[in-house]
Amino acid sequence: MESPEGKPIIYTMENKPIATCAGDQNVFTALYQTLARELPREPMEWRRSYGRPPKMIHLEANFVQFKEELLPSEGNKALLTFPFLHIYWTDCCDTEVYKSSVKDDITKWQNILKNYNTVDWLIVLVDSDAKKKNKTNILPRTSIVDKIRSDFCNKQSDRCVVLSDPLKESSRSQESWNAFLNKLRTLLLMSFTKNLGKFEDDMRTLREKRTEPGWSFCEYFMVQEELAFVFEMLQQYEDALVQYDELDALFTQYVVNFGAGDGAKWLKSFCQPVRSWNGLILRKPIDMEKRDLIQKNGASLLDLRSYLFSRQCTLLIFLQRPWEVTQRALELLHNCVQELRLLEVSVPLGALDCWVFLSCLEVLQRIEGCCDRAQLESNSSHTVGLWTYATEKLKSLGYLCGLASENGPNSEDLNRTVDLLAGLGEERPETASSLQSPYKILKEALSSVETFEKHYLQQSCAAMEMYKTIGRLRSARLIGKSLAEFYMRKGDPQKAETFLQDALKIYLAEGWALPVTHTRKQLAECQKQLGQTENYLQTSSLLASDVNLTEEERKHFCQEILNFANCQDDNQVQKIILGMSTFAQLKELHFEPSSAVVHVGGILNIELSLFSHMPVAVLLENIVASVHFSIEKSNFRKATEWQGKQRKVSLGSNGIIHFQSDPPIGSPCQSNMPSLELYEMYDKSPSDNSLNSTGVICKNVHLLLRRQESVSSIEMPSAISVEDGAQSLRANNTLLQPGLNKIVFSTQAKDPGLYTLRQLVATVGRVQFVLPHIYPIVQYEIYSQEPNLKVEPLNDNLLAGIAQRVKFTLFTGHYTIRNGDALQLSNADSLIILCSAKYVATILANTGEKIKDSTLMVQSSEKVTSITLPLASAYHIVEFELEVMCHIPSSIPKSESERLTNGELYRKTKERHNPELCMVSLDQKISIDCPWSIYSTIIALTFYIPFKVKHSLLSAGKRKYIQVCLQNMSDVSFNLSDPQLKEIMKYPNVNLISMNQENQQQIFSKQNVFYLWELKWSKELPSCLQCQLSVMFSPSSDEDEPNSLKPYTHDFIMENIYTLYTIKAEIYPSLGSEHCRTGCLCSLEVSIMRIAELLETDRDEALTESDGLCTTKLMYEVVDNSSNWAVCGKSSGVISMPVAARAIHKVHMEVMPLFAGNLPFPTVRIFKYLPHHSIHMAQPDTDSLIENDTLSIDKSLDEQADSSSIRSRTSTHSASSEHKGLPMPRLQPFSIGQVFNSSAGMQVLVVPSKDDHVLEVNVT
Amino acid sequence: MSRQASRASESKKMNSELFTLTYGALVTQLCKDYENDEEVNKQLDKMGYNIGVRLIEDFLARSSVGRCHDFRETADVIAKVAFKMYLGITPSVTNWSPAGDEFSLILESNPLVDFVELPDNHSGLVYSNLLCGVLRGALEMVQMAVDVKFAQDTLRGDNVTEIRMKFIKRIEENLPAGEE
Amino acid sequence: MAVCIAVIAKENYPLYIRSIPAENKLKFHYMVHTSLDVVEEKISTVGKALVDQRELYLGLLYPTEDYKVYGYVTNSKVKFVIVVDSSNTALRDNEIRSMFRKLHNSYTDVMCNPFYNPGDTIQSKSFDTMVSGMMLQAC
Repeated sequence: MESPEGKPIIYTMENKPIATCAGDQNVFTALYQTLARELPREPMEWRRSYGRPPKMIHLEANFVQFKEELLPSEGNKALLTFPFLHIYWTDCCDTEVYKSSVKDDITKWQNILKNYNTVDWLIVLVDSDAKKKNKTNILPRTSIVDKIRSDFCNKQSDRCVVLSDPLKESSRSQESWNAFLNKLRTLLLMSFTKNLGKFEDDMRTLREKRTEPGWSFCEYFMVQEELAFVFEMLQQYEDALVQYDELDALFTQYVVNFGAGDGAKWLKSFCQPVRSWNGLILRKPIDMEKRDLIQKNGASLLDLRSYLFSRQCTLLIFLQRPWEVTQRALELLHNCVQELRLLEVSVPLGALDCWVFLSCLEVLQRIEGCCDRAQLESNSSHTVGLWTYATEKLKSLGYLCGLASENGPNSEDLNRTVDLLAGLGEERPETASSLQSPYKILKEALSSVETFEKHYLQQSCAAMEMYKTIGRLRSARLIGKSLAEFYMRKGDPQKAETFLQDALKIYLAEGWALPVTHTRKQLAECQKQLGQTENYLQTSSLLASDVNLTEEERKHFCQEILNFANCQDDNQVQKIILGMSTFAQLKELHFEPSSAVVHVGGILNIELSLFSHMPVAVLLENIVASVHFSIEKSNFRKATEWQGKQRKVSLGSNGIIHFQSDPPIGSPCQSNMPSLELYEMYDKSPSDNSLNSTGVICKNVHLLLRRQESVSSIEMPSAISVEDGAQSLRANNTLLQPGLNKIVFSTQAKDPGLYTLRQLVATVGRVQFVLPHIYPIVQYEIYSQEPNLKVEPLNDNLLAGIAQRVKFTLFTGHYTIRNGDALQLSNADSLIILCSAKYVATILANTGEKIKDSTLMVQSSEKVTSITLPLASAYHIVEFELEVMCHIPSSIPKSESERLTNGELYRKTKERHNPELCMVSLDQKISIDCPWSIYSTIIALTFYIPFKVKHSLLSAGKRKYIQVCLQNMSDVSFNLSDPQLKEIMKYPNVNLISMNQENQQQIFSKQNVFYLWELKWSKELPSCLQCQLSVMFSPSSDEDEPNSLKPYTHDFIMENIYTLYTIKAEIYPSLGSEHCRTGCLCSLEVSIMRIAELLETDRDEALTESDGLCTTKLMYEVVDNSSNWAVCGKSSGVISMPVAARAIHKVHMEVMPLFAGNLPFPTVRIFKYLPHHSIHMAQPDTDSLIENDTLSIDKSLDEQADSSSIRSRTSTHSASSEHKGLPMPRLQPFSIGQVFNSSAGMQVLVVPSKDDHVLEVNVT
Repeated sequence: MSRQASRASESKKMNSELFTLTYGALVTQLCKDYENDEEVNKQLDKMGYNIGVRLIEDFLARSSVGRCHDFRETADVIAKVAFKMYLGITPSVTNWSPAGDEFSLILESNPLVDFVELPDNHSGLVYSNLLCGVLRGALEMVQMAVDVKFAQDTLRGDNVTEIRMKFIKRIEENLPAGEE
Repeated sequence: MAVCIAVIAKENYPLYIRSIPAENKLKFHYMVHTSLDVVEEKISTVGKALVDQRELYLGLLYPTEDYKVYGYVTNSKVKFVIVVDSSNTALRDNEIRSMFRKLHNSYTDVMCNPFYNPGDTIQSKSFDTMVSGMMLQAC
């Protein structure tokens, strides 16, 4: 039990609410132990005012002896020293004693309390049997209690409690204890509630006054803190913290307002310049000196903040919320810095840094102090902020005190350092013990360059590590960067580089242009110092092309490269290789010729469009494109395939290849991730086109592969190497202007094959910029071509017999036509090359554009025609047209055999292709000897004969005529002149008289012309005549020389020309009438007359009779197809003609006209009747026929029946004959011209049978 | 009649952003396909025309407006009925030429161009040119040959959008309409 | 009020970043880039928790001595970062929120511009003016 005298030490952990004890001290002392022990045991619910939630609290009390001084005088705000409860102890059990002394004592006590109007009191009556024993006059226990109650506890009887036998272990005593303790607790709580409530009210009123002039924050601070203390005393840390937070907020508000303009007067005291900056102190729960300062209005802003925070920190730690401390700490520190600025407090340079640094470490150490490693690890996200902050501050201090420079601090720096250290004051006792106290660390760090570095590194690394562990890479990198800067300052680029690289990576990866540029600049500096020439130059080239830099900077870096490139030191011959992408970019590539296909010896131009990123013009010693050469499988193609052929590479139609530009730095790397470009590949065997193997090729492997290490490789281009291709294209001394440049590679094609552009290398002095891959794949092809000759007709059908133009096309290929080279055409007599001076050869380049014309020399000897070719260099085309003429053979022999000579050749005269104009075709083959080969080329041409001839024989009685029809099958029209028909055998007595009027005639396409000749002869006519038609013709188109007439001849043969018989038919009306009438019979007389004696022609069928007179059998037939006539009786029959001139045989028959009018005669035909060679067979047959004849006459059957009967008969007969197996007689027609029907086409008038109609007409 | 009723009754709602974006996509695609803005403008006008010649039917069906007696009346119908119906805006009709054959539609807000900002390389582009085509096509179907063009455009920095419309001639029934 | 406003693409490259005064542009670039750390942290942790309720505002990412960095992430993982000067302590949280909301709307409009292809850096004038409005806006 403490002495109540002297001011109570405010050490809140020890604090308990005060309760005073009056009355019998011995009684109390006896019970004190138990009391002190028992009181806090049971928690008590505390219902609080202002709707704050009720709390269970364990009450303790600090029992002090009652003194009047303890009672607070009016207006005393102290709460800690405030006695919450006054207890009067007595064990009086004797009325007398009570009356005599105790009563008065209590009264006195009561009066004092009344004076201070405290109502929190309690009277405890302890009665023990022990005491009673030695008492003589025993009163009922109750009496005293009642007395006291009646005397003092008017209407609040509970203010007096009885504690019976407290020192005994009895249930009774237990009960009374519990009752007593409960009472005690309740009263205490009541008191708290009442007094705290009152206190808070006062406090509030005080706060309301804060606008009033005299108001002081510090006073108020003290008041509210008092409350906080009490809460803390009651272990209500939450509430306590609230008090401090309120104060915090209030202060902050004031500062803000100050910033906004209205400054409270009391703030001035905080605006005093900062003199000491020893950071936070969190080791002890309360920092009295600072508190005093505040109390005395002597606190600086930092003091106040420090104190405030230290209190908050303490409470938070009580509350097991250390992380909140760190969080708040960071805010606080930032806040303080801001507030100092806001209040325009003068702070010595670096002072604040010290303060912050110390504070950070203090907080960190405090936290470490109160939680274990694992916790720290897991919560480093909270602490890392402080670490970095501390690191920053340390760094700035270091820079300030010249500790980060290469050559240590100078005197000025040292002075500054001293001042700063002075500001720290003495190290505080509580930290003195710990070796790593912030104070010590700072002092040490500032003491020397080395120590500074040591600590700074520790800090940085610690921070970086934490960041890495919680995955804040960017932050880690940023620290790394500042570390690098530090190293650079200290002139230690070695260490700096890696940090810079790491940082750069992440910026590149995420495409942050400005940081990239900035970091690069640092890196460049670093690399320069390290003498990493290659990397430095690479970086420089990047920077030189960096648009985020100023023109000057870019120029500078570009110059750096050039300087290096041009400085001549021979010991380093090896060239530096840099990536081209940064230096310049290949935009497009233009082939000339656009097909990218060139013949051997041809000129190929490739125009590069190169976009230079350099800020200044750069002179390239040379720019070289290395080329890969490969013999292509399909190398030996026909020359014609090459004409205007495109390489299969991704050539634009105009031979331009565009390259997609690499995305500029600052765009996301995702976006420039190229997509896989897969192609199918088929490997066919060259011989037969069968598939050997197949596969899939990825065309842009290099892009995809480069992706992986792209980020790093950008800074370390050593991957790139120059492959020295055997072949290469180069351009020398080209000045590369900023922006777009055009560079032309020109090369003469040498070996045929496929050429692929691989790399592009630009050389500037000792520096080479290399574009390691050219993509999309660029290829050009060089081919060599065999000379070759093509001959084709100009119009689709060549016509024989007239001059036709034929086109010769000659691809010179690799052959150069020298002077005197000629094509030797071996002549064929049927095919003539018409020589003329006006032949012109055109010489074209391979691409097809015309170069020049030159006249063509064509000489013909009897054997060969030689065409002297114009001079033409290799890979050109010579075109010319020749006129050829193919003779029409006078007749077309049926020779199947095709003689494969160089001469003409017949195909059998069958109508082949294009049947609509069925011209006779005949193929011609020309063999040509070309100067470039020993073999002669054979060329086939097909000609068509434009004409076709039909002939026919016409007779008039004995006279004979030959008609010839000439058809023009072709599409052209011709002029025909003097047609002639010759008899080839030259029979003396035969001659042909032309009956054609005009000599000249024109025959148009698909027209016919008819010619007629009379055949005259004396004596015997040969059985067969061989005639030849000959007519001169010329295409009517060429009017210029009508005399260019060509002959056309056609042979044909005619047989059995001579007339053997003439048939004459006559019709007579029935007797007595001069006209034939319909329906009545007329007689038809057919007379067949033999013209000539027996001739060889009909010898075969001549029969010899016994009497030596020979006859021939003829069969005649009367037919009337137009059924004008009814032939009555037998319409046909066999007659035997005596073979003698003028022998006549007449046949009579009846015919009946069925119509009126001029009716043509029924047709009469005769045939040779060739019986089988058995006379007796034939004989009766005829007889029967004859007698049958007679029969049929008297029997007047109608024509129908008759004819049928005949047919039936013949049929039966034939049937029988067949049936007998006997051979049939044959009927053989006479050949045209052997029989002449004189009455052909004659008509007879037939009148109607009666004139009924006429009569009728008369009537009407 | 019944059709008209049904038509008139249904007033479908469509999300304006979708509409605007759709049109935007159309225009930008055209910009990709045709190299110069002039060509794009022409295409837009063409499309508009083809819309117009169809839309007029729908329009007449929905809004049973009768024959217009003069160009002024036409102008009013276009502004007050047509634009309201299809774009939900009512432009004001102003700047009549003295001859009364030419007027301006002033759109203070053009739903087609929400969000749109013309890039500098498309200075020649008349973004909303479709509208011209629509008007031209529609009026052609009612025997009115008009010349429609944008006089001002908010996209070009003008503070209103103005469509200038000029009456050219009445089209006789018999002769075929349109050049497309 | 804001000294730097940045829009950062899903892939963490800047779509738009503007700061006043122009001279210490670089500093802000670093700052914003670093802030992505915290943004990602918050997305990963908070993201799970707040996946259902649409809390796009990430609050104060981290304070520095002179600046406060606030973050906001759209559901399309586009990040907005606003840096304000610590000196204007009067700035309330909900003001920041409203700024972000404005930013978000304006960004949406940009996206809706048919001539803007997503992923490109933002050049829109209207967006620019809106941003500069936010920056100048006195408080």
